[in-house]
Amino acid sequence: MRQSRAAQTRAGVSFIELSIVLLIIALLTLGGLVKVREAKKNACRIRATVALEDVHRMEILHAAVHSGYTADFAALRSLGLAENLDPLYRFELISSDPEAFTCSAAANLDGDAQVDSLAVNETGVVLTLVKD
Amino acid sequence: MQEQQNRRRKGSFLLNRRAQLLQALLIVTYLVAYTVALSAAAIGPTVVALLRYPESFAATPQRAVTAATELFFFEERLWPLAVVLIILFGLHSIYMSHRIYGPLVRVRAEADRVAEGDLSRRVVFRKGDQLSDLEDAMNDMIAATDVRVAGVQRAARRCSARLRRLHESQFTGSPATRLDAYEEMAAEFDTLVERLSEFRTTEGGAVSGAAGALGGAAGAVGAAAGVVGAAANGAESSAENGADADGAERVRATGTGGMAGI
Repeated sequence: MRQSRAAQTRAGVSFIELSIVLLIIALLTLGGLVKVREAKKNACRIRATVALEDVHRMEILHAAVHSGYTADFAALRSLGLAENLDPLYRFELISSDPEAFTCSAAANLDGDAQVDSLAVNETGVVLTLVKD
Repeated sequence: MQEQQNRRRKGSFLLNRRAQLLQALLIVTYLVAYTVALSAAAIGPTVVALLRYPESFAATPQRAVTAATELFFFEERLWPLAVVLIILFGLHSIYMSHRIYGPLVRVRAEADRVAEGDLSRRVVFRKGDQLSDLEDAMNDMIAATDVRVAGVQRAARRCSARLRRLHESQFTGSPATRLDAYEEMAAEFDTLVERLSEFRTTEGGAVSGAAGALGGAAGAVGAAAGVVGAAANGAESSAENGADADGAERVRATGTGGMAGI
């Protein structure tokens, strides 16, 4: 249906008006998304912290059962540690002697060169080593 | 060219591209604004608290896990679902507007045909189209106009036939035959005037003016019929003494003056 110029000018809302409204909404959303992205990084850290606390708990259990910490995730999984600790972080377990262990978690949260890194040891305190 | 356009329209959901896209964009804008506002209200405080992590959760560390879970739920479940729904609703709005603009395209096409004088066609919407009451109203309007115009056409045809008969009676008929022809002519003009008076126009000129002129003509024919009657009576009483010729002469003069108003 072809419209005359007069009919087009009678239209209720023009494309330009609507585009301006969409642009304002897009700018507000963009500003919000930047903040959400920052908040998501912290949420990822919280989830990794919970996972590291789980590892610590399982290590304490392992030490109570086997008289020492372990560097083997399989041994901890046999005690009830979740198979997939976190979808983003890569976990490493280091235990040079039965009296100590360190579990580190690292992930690149925003695609830059910096890597977010957390660690927990036998004391149970989760440390943020590097913030992405 | 018109056929090509029709064929293209049949295969396309965008019959009025500009209006339909504008409507879809408007719906998408509303939904985006709604989603942004709802998300800001629902997850805003959580996002603010997470931004100030770990200070904000120093007193209640367990709440940090809940906040993180909330944010992941929104990001992984709700927002993708909202985006999918917004796209679906936008596409559905194009489909729905197609169901509205399709009938409008048909109404416009039929209105063009009526404007060209074709009153034989009717508006037929597709199954599932909106605005079905518009289809009924348009068809009622075209049918009513069709009936009225057909009535005018019939009356005009009869007038034409009577006029021809009147013309013939001028040369071959007796005064009584001419009187009948004049009276029939006047009656047909009255019918035509009546048919035309059913139309009301904004100008009051085109149809009403024609009806007025025909009314004048009908009056003139009636007057002429009276004169012919008088002439016929005169002819009977004066035993063919030439009065008939005078009467006929007067009829010619009156009739010409009356018809001048048509």
